[in-house]
Amino acid sequence: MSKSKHIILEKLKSKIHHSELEKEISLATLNGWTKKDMTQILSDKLKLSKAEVFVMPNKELASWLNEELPKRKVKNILSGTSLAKEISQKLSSTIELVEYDNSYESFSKQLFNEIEASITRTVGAIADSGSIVLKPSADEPRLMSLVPNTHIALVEQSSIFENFGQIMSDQSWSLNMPSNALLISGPSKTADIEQVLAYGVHGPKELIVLILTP
Amino acid sequence: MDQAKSLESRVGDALGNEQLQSNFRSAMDYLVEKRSEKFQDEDSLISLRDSASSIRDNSISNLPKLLVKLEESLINNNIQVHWAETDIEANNIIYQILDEANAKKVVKGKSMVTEEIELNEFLDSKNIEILETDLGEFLVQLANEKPSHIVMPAIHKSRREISKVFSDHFPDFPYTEDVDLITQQARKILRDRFREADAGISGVNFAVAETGTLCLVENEGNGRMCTTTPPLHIAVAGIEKVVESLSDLPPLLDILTKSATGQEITTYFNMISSPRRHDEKDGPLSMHVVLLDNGRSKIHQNTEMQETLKCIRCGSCINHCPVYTQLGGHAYGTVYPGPIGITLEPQQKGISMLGDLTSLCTMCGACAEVCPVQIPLPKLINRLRSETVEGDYMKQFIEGVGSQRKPMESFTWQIWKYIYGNSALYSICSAVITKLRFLAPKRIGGWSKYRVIQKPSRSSLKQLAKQAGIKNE
Repeated sequence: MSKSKHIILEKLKSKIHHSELEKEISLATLNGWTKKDMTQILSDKLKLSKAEVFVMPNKELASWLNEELPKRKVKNILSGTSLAKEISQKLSSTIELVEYDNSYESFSKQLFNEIEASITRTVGAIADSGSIVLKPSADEPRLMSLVPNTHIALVEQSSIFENFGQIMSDQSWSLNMPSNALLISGPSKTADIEQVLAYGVHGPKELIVLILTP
Repeated sequence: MDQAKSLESRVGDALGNEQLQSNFRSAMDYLVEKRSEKFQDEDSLISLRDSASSIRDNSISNLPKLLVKLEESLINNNIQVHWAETDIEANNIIYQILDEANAKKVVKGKSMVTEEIELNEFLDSKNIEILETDLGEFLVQLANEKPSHIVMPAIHKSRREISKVFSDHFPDFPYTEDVDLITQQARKILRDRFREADAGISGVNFAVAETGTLCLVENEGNGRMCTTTPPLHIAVAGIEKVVESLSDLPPLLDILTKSATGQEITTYFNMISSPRRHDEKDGPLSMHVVLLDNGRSKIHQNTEMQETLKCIRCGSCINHCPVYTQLGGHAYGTVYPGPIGITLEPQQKGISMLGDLTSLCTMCGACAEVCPVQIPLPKLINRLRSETVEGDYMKQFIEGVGSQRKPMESFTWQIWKYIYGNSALYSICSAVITKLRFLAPKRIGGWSKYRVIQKPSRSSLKQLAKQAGIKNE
């Protein structure tokens, strides 16, 4: 044990005389919202944080991308390998699909300087705070949702939860935390200059959430 | 921060600076209003505060156990853990880690604890370049100043002042007072720095013992950059930051963001549980956590003041403090200003040096009313205030107890106490004073500089009551 650790712990232990306090957390009660309610609440809240939200059947994803990306002058889009397999055939040839299949070190220049947009999956969303939930992985690395100007996130309607506590307990997070988990609630923003809100300071300037129905 | 000047003269400067006062007034009004919009329903606020407070109570009363558990979980997650008793030790540990990795360029996410240990100054002296990346902190660093608020560091600067600092440092960019344009220019400048950095340093909002997870709350994304792009991530956490389990997070996160900036939630809640795993493509290759004591274990031992450690640094007490709103953050001359600052700092750095800070409180109680974890700040401040002039018990925990005692002042109060404790003497004195009222001085030192001196009344309250026929006065 390091010397400092020993000293600090000894000092802290010296005052543990009172009976240990029981935590009294009143967990946010569930409202019993339907998926439809939650879809509505989630989109309203996300829109308040300046995210764009579209609800569509799963099978229309590729055609939405084919239509919207050219409109937004997005020429290339970064995707994880597994999602790329699903959509590459259906994507129009004018959009370049780039896979994040190398280590960051060999990819960083391209990632920072050339990639315009990214598309990632999510593990769900939280209606009451208007957040999408990501667990970046080997397939969809951490920086996909941070570096490109536009981040498109796919949320399965079935994976929208009422609150943060509910998604953590339903998905048993405490048993297996990924190296990184994220709640994202809008495009990057700041109010550091005279409390004036400005978007796109370090992360994406645009967050587009596509809620996919079966 | 200008510690060389006395507190009184710093306060004088602040009160004489109208620009500064109007910057703070409008910023605080904005934050107060934003917060109250989010807490419309009194009942749910009460239950949320109860939960948050109980979670923090649990953390503080189980601190040693939770810290040992946290260390074990972090090590399991392949994160190296260091314990630092003092600021000097923490700085040396961080320097050693950077030096071993041959890191010369460091990017930092906003962190008050690294302000507390003056890490920037220390690494500067070791020729390591350390760059603040939170927009507000970046601007404050460019201006060679210190943050004036723990959540909004550049709150003391107007847009014009910021534009000037920016264009002085980056003449290649056209001068602008447009906030969007300044923000985009900063984005451009900092993106390259993130990519080129050898290491990233961050603070920690909550450290979850159960899973070894470090949580960071932010809006900009610079915190995510600092903890993801460089090959090395060092997180610095005060030992009080630990919470027991993941289920503690939702109430704390909820009340933190609403209290701090009146946001439903911040843009990012970043939960980091390990460096890059073998199959992953990005994230730091190695991670370190420095657990900092720096006076916290002493506060923990001092049961009457222990609640100081519950603080989650939302800044709400600061936003609602009438003294802070008048003075701004720099007049305090400390890292943490406002109610939490005058409670925490004298305990950490001693009463000899910072005891006079406890006078920066009107005992209005606003801070205690808004504190998300129910720290009884006025009570703690009052307790400390009395420790500045007398006390015995707290000598073992706080340096300089009683050191601000002035012989004349204490003599005066002794006499006061004696007279007020003796009814015959009191009657004589009040009779004499009403008779000799013409002797009342026209000036009494600093007191009469801003106030009209009142003469004692012709008759005492007791006499007046008697005349009015009030019985048993």
